[in-house]
Amino acid sequence: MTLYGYAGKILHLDLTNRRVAEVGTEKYRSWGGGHGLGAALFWDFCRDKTITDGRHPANVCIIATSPLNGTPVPSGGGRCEVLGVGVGMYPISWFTRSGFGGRFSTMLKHAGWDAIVIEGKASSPVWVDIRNEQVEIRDASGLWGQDTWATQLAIRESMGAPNGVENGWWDLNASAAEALDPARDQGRTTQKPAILTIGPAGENQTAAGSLLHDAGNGAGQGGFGAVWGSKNLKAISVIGTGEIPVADAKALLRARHVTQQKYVTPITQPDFAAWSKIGNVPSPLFMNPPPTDQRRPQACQGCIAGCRARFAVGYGNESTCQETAWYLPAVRRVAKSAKELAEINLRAADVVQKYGHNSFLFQTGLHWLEHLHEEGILGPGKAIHSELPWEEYGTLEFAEKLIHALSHRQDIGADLADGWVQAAYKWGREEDLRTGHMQFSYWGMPEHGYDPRAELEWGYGSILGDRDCNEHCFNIIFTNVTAAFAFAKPMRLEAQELVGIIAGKLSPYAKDRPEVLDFGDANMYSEDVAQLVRWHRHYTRFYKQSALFCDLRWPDFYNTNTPDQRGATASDDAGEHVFWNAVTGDGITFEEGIERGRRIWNLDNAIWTLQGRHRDMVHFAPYIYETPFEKGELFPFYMWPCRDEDGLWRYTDLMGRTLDKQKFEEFKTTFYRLEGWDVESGWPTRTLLAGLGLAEVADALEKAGRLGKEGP
Amino acid sequence: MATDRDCTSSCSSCDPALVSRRGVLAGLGVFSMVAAFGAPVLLADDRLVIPNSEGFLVVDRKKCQGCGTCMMACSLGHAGVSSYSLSRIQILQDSFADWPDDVLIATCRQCQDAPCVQVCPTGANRADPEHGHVRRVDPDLCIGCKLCIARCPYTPVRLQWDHKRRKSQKCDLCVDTPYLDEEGGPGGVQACVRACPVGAIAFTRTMPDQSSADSYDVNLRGAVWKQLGMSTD
Amino acid sequence: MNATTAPMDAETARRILARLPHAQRFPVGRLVPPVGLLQSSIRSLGELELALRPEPRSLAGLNLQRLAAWIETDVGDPAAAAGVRDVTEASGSYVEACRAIYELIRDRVAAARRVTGT
Repeated sequence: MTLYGYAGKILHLDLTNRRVAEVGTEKYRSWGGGHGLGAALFWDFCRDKTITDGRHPANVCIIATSPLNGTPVPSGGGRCEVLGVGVGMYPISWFTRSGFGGRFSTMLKHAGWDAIVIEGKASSPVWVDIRNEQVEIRDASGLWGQDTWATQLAIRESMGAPNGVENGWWDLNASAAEALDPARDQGRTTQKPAILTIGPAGENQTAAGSLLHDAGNGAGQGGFGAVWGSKNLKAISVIGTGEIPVADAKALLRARHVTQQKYVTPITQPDFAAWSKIGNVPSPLFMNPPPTDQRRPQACQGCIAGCRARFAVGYGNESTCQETAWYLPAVRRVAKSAKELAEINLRAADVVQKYGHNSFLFQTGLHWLEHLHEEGILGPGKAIHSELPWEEYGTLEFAEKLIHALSHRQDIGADLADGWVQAAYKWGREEDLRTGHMQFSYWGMPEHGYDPRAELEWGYGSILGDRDCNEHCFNIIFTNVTAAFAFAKPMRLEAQELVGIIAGKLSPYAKDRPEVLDFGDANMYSEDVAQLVRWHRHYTRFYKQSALFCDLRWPDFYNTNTPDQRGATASDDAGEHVFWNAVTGDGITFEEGIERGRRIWNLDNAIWTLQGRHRDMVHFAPYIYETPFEKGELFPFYMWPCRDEDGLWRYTDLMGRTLDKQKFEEFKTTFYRLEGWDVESGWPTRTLLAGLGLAEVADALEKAGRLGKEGP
Repeated sequence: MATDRDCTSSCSSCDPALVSRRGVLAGLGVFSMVAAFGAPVLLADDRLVIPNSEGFLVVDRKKCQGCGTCMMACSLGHAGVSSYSLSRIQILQDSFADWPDDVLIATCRQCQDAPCVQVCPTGANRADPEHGHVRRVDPDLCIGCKLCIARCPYTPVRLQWDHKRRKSQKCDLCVDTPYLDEEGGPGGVQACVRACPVGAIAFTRTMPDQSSADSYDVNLRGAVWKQLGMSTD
Repeated sequence: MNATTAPMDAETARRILARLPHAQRFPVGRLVPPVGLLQSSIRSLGELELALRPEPRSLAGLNLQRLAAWIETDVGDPAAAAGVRDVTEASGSYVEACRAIYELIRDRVAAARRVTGT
């Protein structure tokens, strides 16, 4: 029976014994793909799910695709999910996830694989060479120590893969005889191998170690670079010439066309200020102006509006978003012009890409380091000794020295390697987590810019999960509305209309219940908000992290490109489930996708429970409770729709408040009750798990003495 | 232009000795005769002169965002599967090269004097009179000899080898696209043109200059592109 | 001619171009849809100029009232502070105010560089 959308096989790598095996996808089909598939594989393959450091040899790392990868589902074809126990979180490195874009997931599907399970540890550095169904584990001693770009170029060269774009078809056959044999002909491609690799930060098993593909597609959170480093795995290269069957190609192409015509602003005459996620023009997500107009937009496979760029200037290619500004505050100290500012910033992006270094840690971490230095606490001969040339702070040279040191466990990198909050405790800087000088708000991770004291679903979703959630589903509300206020422009959508449109799509828990979006003081710990958080967890676990719809473009709740201002999400003509069904033939409803997400989310919680999770540790950093989110500290206002005393919806400024620790405890209880978790511990119960078809998971929890007690 | 096969085509940049052939035929008015009659003409020396295609794809390699949607749409529209190796348009890109040399869009040129049509021993590859003389391969007649692939003078070769079905295939301007709702061909829809999010591929009825290697790479960037902050040069 | 366009003395020019100690830094954010709010700080009017430079994809974030006070008290340029208050009052929106302050500060920094020959 054809598994539409799937390649049908999962690659199992036993690095310890350097063996390669094949696992059928069919038994995992109900998990969807991506995170669901990966979590189920982790459950089956990880023999010790109590580990709390991803560098433990028992850790299993999974790279998982979705049936939608390699198809033209708009901004659903290019992402790839990474899972396993992470590194560097606090107090426990949870079973966690990361994601990256580009060409890798498409190519893995073309090669005939839905996922890769990486188990064990090689005795010496290796890389994995996947060419269709031929998989070799090769010696990487010549690659170890090279940066991520040099590694990819070296692997290309070793494979005889062409550089540049003036090449012909690459015949994957080893001989002419193979090419002539229908049973053995591997086919041809014009494409280059898609390579995922680690750099020095991962090789040295630092918490900042990330995975990097092509020039700028990085899986940063979770320290998966360190996980690979601990396994002596340098890189995985994949090239494929196969095909991905879809259930209804006509329906798929039709839905893509509908998306373009109805939901996306026309490229010939765009509305540059459209309120939409999927409907915007291609535009790089830069923190400062691009260095030149000599550039193109650049996109992951299947994306409807690329968020990156490639330039003529020789730097900054494929970097986007946070990595293009991790160093911005420092550069501003020294730059003499906007041109210099742009160049140093983008070259600093290249540095972190090449080192395979997660720049997100600098989101608030750089500010903290500068504070420590300027206060005379960090530096040569200071309480926190550092020989780094802090007088050069803001220059490109300093950026490189800083990243080099942190990637090689040198200087302050020796302490930061196991986690930044861990280092703060070691350095006696616990106070900074109270005052907010160190804004690492959840699980040892930096606050994202959407402060938990203001935008509740972000903070709650992160602390009730495993990491900074990095799910911009509702965050577009803040962005659109706040920007409109800043420009004193009329709102494209008034508050009541906006929440009404969104609530219409929040089935099943919050359908047509706009109150779930009210983050005002009177509602911030309510069951309403708890239902929103539930919906958010479940939607993202399936549609974003398993089906792999890109966080930048989905969900599309409201959309000013359409006549009724309603977006593509859950729509009958171009909703997420429409695309899922066109590819897989599953015939699910939108709500059934949410339910799949609930199942996946609960499997995650079961794994966290085995790792030692208890509700008592589910708390933000102290500053969230003790220090108000200062008005004007980052922006003059933080606008969000809330109801006033008369019950009328207005856009309201959420700055200036803290979270109340006791009320947050009550909120947790509400959330746990709604999820069916034991409210005393936060652990899943047998009834809950059995109802999700996870009875054997309940058995494992019971055996470990960590099965939640049934509720009344 | 570099080629990846021994080039024996009439392309002037490849084989100067053969450049006279087109000139001779043009001088004899053969092309206009063929255009007037709308039918192929077999000359005494077994050379086939075929009517011009009524449609062509032109591209703007400086505009392409490298998303590969065109390749997916092409293979899906024709074969119901998504496969880059089966795509009749190829996007080549190199993440470690700089703009504009980081992307190449390779489409079939629907050559006036198509060598792949010339060489086909079964007539599978022909200028289809029912569909605007588009040069297309009839899969029922293709015997998988790969001569057409060997004869294409461009890099990458503009025909694809379907290694599962053992046939060659090429861009037919979406004549044979059972998985598209609409009709294809020169009078209809091209899947890649429609799928491209930035408008880097266009259909035209005007035959680009056959003596130039670059004539199919055009500037499709206008005022909106400039407003987006990108070069229109 | 107003206070900000009157000839500048060397001491004022020096204060405008000097970098303040860390303890006197002024918090400045940046709203970059959809990434979030980046936190940072400025310690000189030169950095303020860069922070406020208009660009289409992001917005500088700062408290305009406190900014004027900082310029007056910490930087020590009361003329610029008065100018900031005036344009803030006259502007129809936050972004309009930022743009006007950017132009004022840009000119002020340029003038200071001319006076000091840097």
